[in-house]
Amino acid sequence: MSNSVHNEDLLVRYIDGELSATEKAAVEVRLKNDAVFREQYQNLQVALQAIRQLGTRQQVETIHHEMMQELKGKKAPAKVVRLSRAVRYTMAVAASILVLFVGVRLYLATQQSPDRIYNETFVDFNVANARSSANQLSQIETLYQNKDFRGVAATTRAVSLSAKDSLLIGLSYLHTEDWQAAARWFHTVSVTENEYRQDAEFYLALAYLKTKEFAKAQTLFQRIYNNPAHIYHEQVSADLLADVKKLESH
Amino acid sequence: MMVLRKEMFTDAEIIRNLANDQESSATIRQLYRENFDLLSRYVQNNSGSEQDAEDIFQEVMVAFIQLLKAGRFRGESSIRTFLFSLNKNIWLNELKRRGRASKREEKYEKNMNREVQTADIAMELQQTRSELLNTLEALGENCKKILLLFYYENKSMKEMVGELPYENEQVVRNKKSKCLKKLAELVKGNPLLYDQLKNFVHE
Repeated sequence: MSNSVHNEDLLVRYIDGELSATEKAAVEVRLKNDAVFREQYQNLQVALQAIRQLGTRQQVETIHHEMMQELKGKKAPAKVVRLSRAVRYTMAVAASILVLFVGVRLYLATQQSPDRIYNETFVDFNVANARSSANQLSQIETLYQNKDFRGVAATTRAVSLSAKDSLLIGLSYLHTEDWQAAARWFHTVSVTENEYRQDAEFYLALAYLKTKEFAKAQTLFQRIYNNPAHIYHEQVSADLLADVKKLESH
Repeated sequence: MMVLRKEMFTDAEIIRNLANDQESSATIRQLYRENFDLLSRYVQNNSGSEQDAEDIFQEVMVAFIQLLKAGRFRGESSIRTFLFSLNKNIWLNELKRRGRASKREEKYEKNMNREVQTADIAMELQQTRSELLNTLEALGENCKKILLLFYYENKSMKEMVGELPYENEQVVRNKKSKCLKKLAELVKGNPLLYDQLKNFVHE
């Protein structure tokens, strides 16, 4: 027992780099040849690993709080956004009910209508969640958040647009039902490497439903469906794909 | 087109920094700025709340750094792809834990596994998390602090005396040695935790 304690002390000093060159060499020889000694060393290494993991965890925790403030500070009117989102969903529900009551006959006739697919698949883009890297909302982001879609479209001549701005311009055209223009903007964002590329692909596919370019819509939806890492993967079901395919063959 | 970012670390630099504890805080901040948006949207698009997204991202960061330190990720894929996959698997495990993973998500997880192998890692880390924290709790506050100062923050004995309620370096040295041996004993008593920690020891 006292031998084991002595060994442990020796190993702690070895780990801390406190041994002389001769002592260090002797420990290394023993580590090669003495299984019990080696196991004691491994136990200490595992204990150190526990401490290091705790250290990493605490370091990340501190930075996490700091970064949440930095990143969430950007979406200042968070409450307003949440409210407007609630309103939007309520409106969506109300609209769906309206569609249900008014359009039963119409629905039967147009079961595979692109409008129906569009309405069922569309999820609005949440500006607040998609934090930009700038410290403040860009002019376009602010306009979009305030639902001033025409205002956004009017800003398109601005000189330097970020990928996110371009995406929001496309989305504004969707909201104002200028499908061709929307498709052009989404296409631009979708063909370059940027953070909003996947958003652009999804909305471009939706815009193509409206411009009746079903083959193109089908290709994009298929790509999203095939890629489990796509952030809109969950929005594209096999049913949706089948419906779009039917449109294409009509 | 994209917003200009100055003096960013490349993937290789991020790996080097975090594996060797150089500029680690600045590097972690950059990972937050570059990936939080995308990863948190994934969680929120898949039945997670805003808070879930934040918590999961924090776990992703811890897991990523531990894997780098253990030499278990060396840039086989891009960091972004790897983090995305970790985020997904950690979130799916959490959904499973809550008993809310749907058939579709499980099928989806299977697809995912063909891309980057992070499902096992995510499971492993989540299983050890509470075991680790409980074990360190049993070690006591003073011991935890001494070991963290010396082995994580690399403080000298002299600096430690200033931060601890002990008179001199020799007392701190003895205490540190005792604490490490006590921790080794505690970890050894938990075979599951022991094996999982062993996998993260960098040989």
